[in-house]
Amino acid sequence: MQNIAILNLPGPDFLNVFGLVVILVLAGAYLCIRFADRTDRRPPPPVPQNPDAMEVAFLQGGVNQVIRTLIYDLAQRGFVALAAEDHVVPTEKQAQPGELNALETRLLEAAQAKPKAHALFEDRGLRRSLLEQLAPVRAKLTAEGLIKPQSVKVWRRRAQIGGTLIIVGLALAKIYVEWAKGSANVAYLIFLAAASVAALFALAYVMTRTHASRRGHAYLEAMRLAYGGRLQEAVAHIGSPGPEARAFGGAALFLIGLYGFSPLKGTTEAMFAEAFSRGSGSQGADCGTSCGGSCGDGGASDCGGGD
Amino acid sequence: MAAAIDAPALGSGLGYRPQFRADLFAHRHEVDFLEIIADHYLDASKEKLAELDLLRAHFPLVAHGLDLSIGGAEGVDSRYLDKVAALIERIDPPWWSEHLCFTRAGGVSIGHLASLPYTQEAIDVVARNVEYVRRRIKAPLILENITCVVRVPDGEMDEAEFLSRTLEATGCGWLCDVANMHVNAVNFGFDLEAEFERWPWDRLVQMHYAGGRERNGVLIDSHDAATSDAVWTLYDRAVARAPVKAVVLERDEKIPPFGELIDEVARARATLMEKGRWR
Repeated sequence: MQNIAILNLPGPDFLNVFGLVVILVLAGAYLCIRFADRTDRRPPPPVPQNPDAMEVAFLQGGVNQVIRTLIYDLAQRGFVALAAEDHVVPTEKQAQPGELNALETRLLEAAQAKPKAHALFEDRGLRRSLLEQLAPVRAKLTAEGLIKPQSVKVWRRRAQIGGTLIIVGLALAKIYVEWAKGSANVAYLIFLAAASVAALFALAYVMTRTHASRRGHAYLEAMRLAYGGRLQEAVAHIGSPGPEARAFGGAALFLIGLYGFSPLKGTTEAMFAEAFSRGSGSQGADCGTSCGGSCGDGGASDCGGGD
Repeated sequence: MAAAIDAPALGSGLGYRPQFRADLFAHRHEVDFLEIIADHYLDASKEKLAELDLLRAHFPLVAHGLDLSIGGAEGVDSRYLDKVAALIERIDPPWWSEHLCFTRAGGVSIGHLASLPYTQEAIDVVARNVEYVRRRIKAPLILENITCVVRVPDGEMDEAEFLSRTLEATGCGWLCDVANMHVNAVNFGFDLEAEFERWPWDRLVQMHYAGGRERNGVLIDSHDAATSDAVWTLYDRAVARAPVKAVVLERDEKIPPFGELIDEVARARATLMEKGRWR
């Protein structure tokens, strides 16, 4: 090993080479993960005339977004309310037979314990149950290439392992050579190697944290462009008297799935944005919550829920 | 009767306006195609181009220009034409349309569709300009009859003859705006019913219909009301008379609940189907 020219470069020169290797590793990781998802070779499907709220929410942000959308819908319909300290509490209203679907019923059950908003995201039983009921939705989205393919997960892991081996291997080799020469001035190299591995994992996370594939993102973007006007109308109705106050009810509920709670800021329903923001570290505009879905698993893997 | 251009029938469409985009997508299957205003996309932002691509992915499109000034004596503005050409290339419509008028004079855009003098000299100018445009844009150009506020004096013919001879000289198809025909007939007091056959029905490709309003005894094609019974009567007669390929509802102001627009589009489609112009 001591005969390898690179490893015998003086410290500053070696760090230049090391930096170059790190850049190449990061670029390689980016390309591997990027091209593992080639769903955007096909144009997105047509924007639906009547978007399904759960489908949109699941595609936008996995189970977390489904939970947000369901809670908001149940609150609009008077079955739950947001209480102090971000608790989600059931009201006295009783559902008539057939009034709630299975997803809504399951979430209302979870609300009986008056959990904090973030606790809903961390309730493994709830997540598992919702995922089971969302299986047909997931199958449909997967068949259309809208959810990140499994190959992304595979290539992410390969990129992380391969990249780490290259970065750490090169650093260890240099440290070994320096120690063999009697030099112990390798602290900066250790720091640089650790930072580089962290950067590699951060890159992999950022590229794979969302639930939707590239085709799925294009589909969501088309939906935002097509129906963005509805969002402005709905927000303007919040707080108005009469039935229009349920601005995101019925056919408009998908807008909550699509945009999350961010548009509610500054309205009389801002408490949803605040409670779920405190609870999840996200306003729901994207994935990446504490139990965020990634790589097409709808958020099952990070919080222990089985598929 | 031979078709004025070789293009597919598009059915009953709507003049696209961004204000009703969400409603449009929620009723996508009730609109057969869209007509976009070309000028809204000539120096378009990234967002407008994304909107255009979205529309193109969901509807057949035709483009309708406002400011080509096809009757301008000083010729067509080549920079403007380049922009239109780029748009036409992007959306690849079966045809595109402009108004038979002039909108520029002395290098200044006058911001108005101004009527041409009904003379042979004007026909020659239009023919020369159309030839110039054709060298740049291959998609068929069709020309629309406009409303006329003031007739240019010393005309050598009436509007129907001027239009017929212009389309003959240029080889262009006709975008028949039945609302404009009605407005001119009322304002200038000619009997449209009696003179119906004098219009160039053999060159008909597309139709516009719309509602307007009356001000100080003058009808204005303001596109701010529901289509009147008189215009519908003319529309029905025109559809029965000639194999129109597409009809478009124009509505620019006082846009009503979208359902009312859809009702008008459906009304227009019903006549197309009844007369065998649409499936």
